[in-house]
Amino acid sequence: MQSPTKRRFSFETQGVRQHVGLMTVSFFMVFLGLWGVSGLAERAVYFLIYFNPDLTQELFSNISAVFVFVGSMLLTVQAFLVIRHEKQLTEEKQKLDEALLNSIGDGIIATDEKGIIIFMNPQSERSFLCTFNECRGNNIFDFLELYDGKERKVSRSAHPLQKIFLLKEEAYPFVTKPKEFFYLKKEGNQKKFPASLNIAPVIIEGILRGVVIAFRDITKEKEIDEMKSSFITVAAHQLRTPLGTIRWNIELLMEEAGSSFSEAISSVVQNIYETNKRMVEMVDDLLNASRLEDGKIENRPEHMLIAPMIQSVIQDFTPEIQRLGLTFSFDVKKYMSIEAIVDPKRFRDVIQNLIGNAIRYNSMQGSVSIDVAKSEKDIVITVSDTGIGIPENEREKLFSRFFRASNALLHSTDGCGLGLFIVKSYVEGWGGQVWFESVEQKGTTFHFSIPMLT
Amino acid sequence: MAKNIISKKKKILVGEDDKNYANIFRLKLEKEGYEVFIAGNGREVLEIAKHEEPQLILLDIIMPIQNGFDTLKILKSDADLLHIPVIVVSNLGQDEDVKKAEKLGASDYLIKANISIQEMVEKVRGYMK
Repeated sequence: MQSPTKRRFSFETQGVRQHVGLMTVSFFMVFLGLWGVSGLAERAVYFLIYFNPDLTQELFSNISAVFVFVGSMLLTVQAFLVIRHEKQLTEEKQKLDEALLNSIGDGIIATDEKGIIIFMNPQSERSFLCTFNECRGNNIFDFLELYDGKERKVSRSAHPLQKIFLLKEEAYPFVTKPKEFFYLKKEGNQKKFPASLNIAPVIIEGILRGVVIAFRDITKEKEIDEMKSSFITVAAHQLRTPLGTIRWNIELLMEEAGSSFSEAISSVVQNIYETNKRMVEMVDDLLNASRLEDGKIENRPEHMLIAPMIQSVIQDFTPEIQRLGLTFSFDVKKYMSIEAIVDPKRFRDVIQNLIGNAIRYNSMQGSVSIDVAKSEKDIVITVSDTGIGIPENEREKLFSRFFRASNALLHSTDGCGLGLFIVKSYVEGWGGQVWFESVEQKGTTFHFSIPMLT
Repeated sequence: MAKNIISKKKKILVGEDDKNYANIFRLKLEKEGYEVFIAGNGREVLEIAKHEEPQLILLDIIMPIQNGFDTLKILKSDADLLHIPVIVVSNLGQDEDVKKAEKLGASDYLIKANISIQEMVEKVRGYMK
């Protein structure tokens, strides 16, 4: 943006310098002409006549008149040149603006304050398969059909343009969020295409004069995104098959020959079994995170008793709990009657991730306690551990994808940093909240809520 | 495929193309006292189902020649076979896969990597009562 402005500036200064030169000459001539008839000039005239007696005073007056005439003419020419130069400047500026708008890879459409199309750049002509001349004068609401990410048509009242036209001078730009997009289609066209949008009001001296719609066709980006998702889905499925057979084979082995194993062999086999289980969990997390990103995870709430589910998750972790010598406190009977309306699969994933972390990042001989509190508004489940805690300066990032706290990395290299991202997404997905308190080296307490639905 | 017409054992048909899984299914379920038939693809599942009239079918989804979904559809549209409960046992476990299987008439859906062999056996017992 810097260089065209600079060039235009130097071009202008050069022009001004030319004008100043010409104007100086013209003014000088007019001045001389006037001086010629003035008394002051007389002496000079007499002086000249003394050397050249053929010249008369009359002649000098004529010469002065000629000077005035020529000077005036020059001023006229000058005025003409100034006007021509101004015109050149405007044309140059227009060409530059046009070139700028035309070379932008994004589509741009501008309308007046009534929504009538007054400009389209070539990119938008290509996107909508029509020329500006065919489309100018159309109302933008009739011309441009807008569909949301799920290909549902956006009604006029929900249209981002409508908001700008209603708010007028208080209007602000509408920008699609990352990952958000709309489908655009010209009225009458067959195909819609996905695009990110930026709709800005054009406000001059506090009055809405129109809107500018800038859009970017993201068909290619979406294709790549879909390829990525399907790659992860296929990879996850392919990885699950051998991991699943390892699991079943170890279970068979333990069942058939477990009793004849020495303690050492038993613990080796147990290790293989647990590691394999962790691999399955990681593959599941990867798959879930990828699907969460694509917005493909569905929430299917149903009535369920949560205590037995928590108990069964704790049971799954028994070998790890025993190995680390952890004390677990969860009073399954006390909470037996608490019923929530929640997606059982998602609830299991959430509680499994939180309990898994409470075990994995605990200290030897530490403890984990789980409590459930029910109010009229919601059910809050609390998981506390006596583990390594979360460093103060890393707490903000705790729920981000692939993030693992520095002390967690030191404590255990295993884990991909997706667990809490999934927890937060699921809990917020069902309308709850997740929060925590933590003291380094002392432990962490996580809470999450399930709203009571009626 | 060995046929045992006089056998009084309850029959289970397993549609599973992975040799490892197929072996475990056979081992474990035979130990439970069932007669186990293994089919390596969807078409074989249909053939054996018609021939043997099993009490239960365990069905994988990703199989050569004819996949589990297509096989399930045919099983549930055949008047002679639609009464046989089908448990889908797959490593495909997306919401839409489960939904699709339910819609096609599957009685249950198990993700192999996420359940223990014992859980699988218990599920089977429940259907064989």
